[in-house]
Amino acid sequence: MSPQTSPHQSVQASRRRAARRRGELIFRMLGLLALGLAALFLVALMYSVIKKSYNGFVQSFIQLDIYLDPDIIKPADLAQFQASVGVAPDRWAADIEPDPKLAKRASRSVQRGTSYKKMLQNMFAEEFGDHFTGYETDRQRDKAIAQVAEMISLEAQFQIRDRLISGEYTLGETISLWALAAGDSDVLYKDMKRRTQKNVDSENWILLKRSVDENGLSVLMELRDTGRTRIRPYLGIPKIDLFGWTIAEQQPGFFASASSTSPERAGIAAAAQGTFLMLIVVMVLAVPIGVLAAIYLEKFAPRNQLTDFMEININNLAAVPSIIFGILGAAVIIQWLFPGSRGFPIVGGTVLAFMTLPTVIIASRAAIGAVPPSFEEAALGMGASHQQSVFQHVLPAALPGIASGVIIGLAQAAGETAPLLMVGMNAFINDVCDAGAACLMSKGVGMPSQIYQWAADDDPLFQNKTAAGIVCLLTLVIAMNGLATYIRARFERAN
Amino acid sequence: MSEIRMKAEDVHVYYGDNHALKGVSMDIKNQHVTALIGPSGCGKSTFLRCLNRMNDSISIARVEGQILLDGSDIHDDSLDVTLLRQRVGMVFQKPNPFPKSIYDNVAYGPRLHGMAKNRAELDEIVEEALSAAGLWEEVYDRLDAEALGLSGGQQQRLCIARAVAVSPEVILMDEPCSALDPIATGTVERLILDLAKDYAIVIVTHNMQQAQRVAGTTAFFHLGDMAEMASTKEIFENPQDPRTKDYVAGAFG
Repeated sequence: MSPQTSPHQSVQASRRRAARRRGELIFRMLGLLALGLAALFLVALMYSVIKKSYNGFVQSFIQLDIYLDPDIIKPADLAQFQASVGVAPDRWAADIEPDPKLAKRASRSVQRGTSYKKMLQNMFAEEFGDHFTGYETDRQRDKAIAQVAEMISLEAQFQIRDRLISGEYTLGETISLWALAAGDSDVLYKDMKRRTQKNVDSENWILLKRSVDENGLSVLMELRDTGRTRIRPYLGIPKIDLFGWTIAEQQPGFFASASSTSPERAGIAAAAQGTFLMLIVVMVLAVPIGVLAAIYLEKFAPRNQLTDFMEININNLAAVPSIIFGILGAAVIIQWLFPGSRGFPIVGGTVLAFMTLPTVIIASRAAIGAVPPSFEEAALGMGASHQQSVFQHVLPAALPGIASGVIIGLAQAAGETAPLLMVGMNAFINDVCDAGAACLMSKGVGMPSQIYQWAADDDPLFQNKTAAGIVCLLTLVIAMNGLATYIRARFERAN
Repeated sequence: MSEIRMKAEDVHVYYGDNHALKGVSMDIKNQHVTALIGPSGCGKSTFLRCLNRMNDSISIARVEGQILLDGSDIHDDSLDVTLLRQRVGMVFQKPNPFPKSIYDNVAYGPRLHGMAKNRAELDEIVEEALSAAGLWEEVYDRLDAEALGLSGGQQQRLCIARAVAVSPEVILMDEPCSALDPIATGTVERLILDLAKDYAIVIVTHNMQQAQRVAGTTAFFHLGDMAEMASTKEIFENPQDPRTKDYVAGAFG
């Protein structure tokens, strides 16, 4: 056939080829565009969350020189209290006999927040007295000073108290302390710093209408100008007990503290503990039930209408909105089976296990189904029973797939909010439970519901804590998914 | 003439509505290789799988007729299917060693059936089986190595060693060389001839030359029927059935 007559060289044919090339180019461009948009959204999300979270991890501190006034807390009271709680006695304690009656009074004096508040107020009055002028009565002036003293967090008072009791500080000395700033002054100081860095000169500080007033602002500016303010990470060390030995003493901070009404003191520890406990419950419940159900359905169940029906419903359950599982937990477990168990991590974990079961079953079935039948056949041909061939050969080969499915299910459970709200795991918890396994049955909170709580507060510092909590949760979930991917890749290569 | 080890009488197999095997009767002799040949889908593998009841695991399969092993019915309730498979071992088309060490692959069956009292006995069984499969010389210094690291031909011989390790009476082979290269095929064929001194061997093959090389008796299957069964020489040189004649002459299949 000569070239002129070949149908592949006609004008129509070359037009058709050009049109096809054009179409394919457009398709490729659209694909790249979609990918680019997705990447853009992801970067924007990560950027905004991480940027916002920074101020949740760092806090403002103010350096204070505080006179531990023996007129406010009597040395005898402190010694009596130290003796009654059995801490290392200081120089007075040697000749103190613990007396229940005296101890009660001593405890009131040493423990009471007002004692420390008074010391703080005295310090402000002494050092910044010239900021408080033009008041008609001393009473009004004291009130103004008390208002300014609110810029120091409650945490600082606890710190002084604990060090006083432990004997690190003694009454009558003047101690120097970098005290945690309270939420409002923290936000104000961060704002001041940001504007200074950006060279924005404005007196319209965002917090003037809140608890820090004009006096507070001028005191804070003097503190800043004399170098007695700083911003530092406030992460803390959670208390770690292992077999009765305390490995790490608790130091307050974002990772060590429970939630609080004061945003600067609020931490993620109680919520992380709740999520950890719930994930243990999920693992104990959903993994054996889910994996065994998958083995049965995939390898032993007869194919009939009943098993078909079950299969369809398991697939449907995986798509049921999670809040439905929460309602199930609230109605069946809390109202019917175990009244009074509202807010317990064991209940939250059970509900999350219900929710995770379909995921575990589906992933496990897929993993079991993907095992080449040759292993099973070889075992059967050797005289192994059906059950032996499944448990000795199919299951081990399917294990990496099952493990990665389980971890993805757990990650999904860790991030679920709605069921927690339904079973009351959004309570205000301001204490990290240290009762071990009994914590499963005391009111708790999970990381997503903790974030939800903080997000509902319009305090800017709580907004930062929200972002910080999200970063923690995202890190957990990404780490779990990464582990699942690693297990899958690592063991699939081995087979 | 050697004794008859297995005897199939009028065996029918149905896969649902599909009548896959239509009344096959056959004697399987001891210390003898019986080859089953025929075009794809003729029922030769189906028949092979009947002999150790591997069709049991296919839920839609139904087997009728009688198959005797040493005179007793293999479908009899008193005969445990796992015992049957211990006595009638099987080697599959594709080498399918377990993802374990070479040693554990061979030791799997003896362990399963409690054949060794201690490690020394087990070692002995493993060595014997690997020697019987002609693999001992190649692997004795790396018994703990992964079986999947062996070559295809070695893997298949390992599978044969694994089958031999439980001291079966009959070994069924379903196209054991179809995934191997000609050199590995030659090794396995010599091995089959060697094993035939001790065992009854039934081999399904697509390769007519292979049947001629290894088998004493050949059966030709066609569309679920056993068309003809005779000595291999007869089948290839003087076939009686016209279908056999066409097939061995290369007219179809």
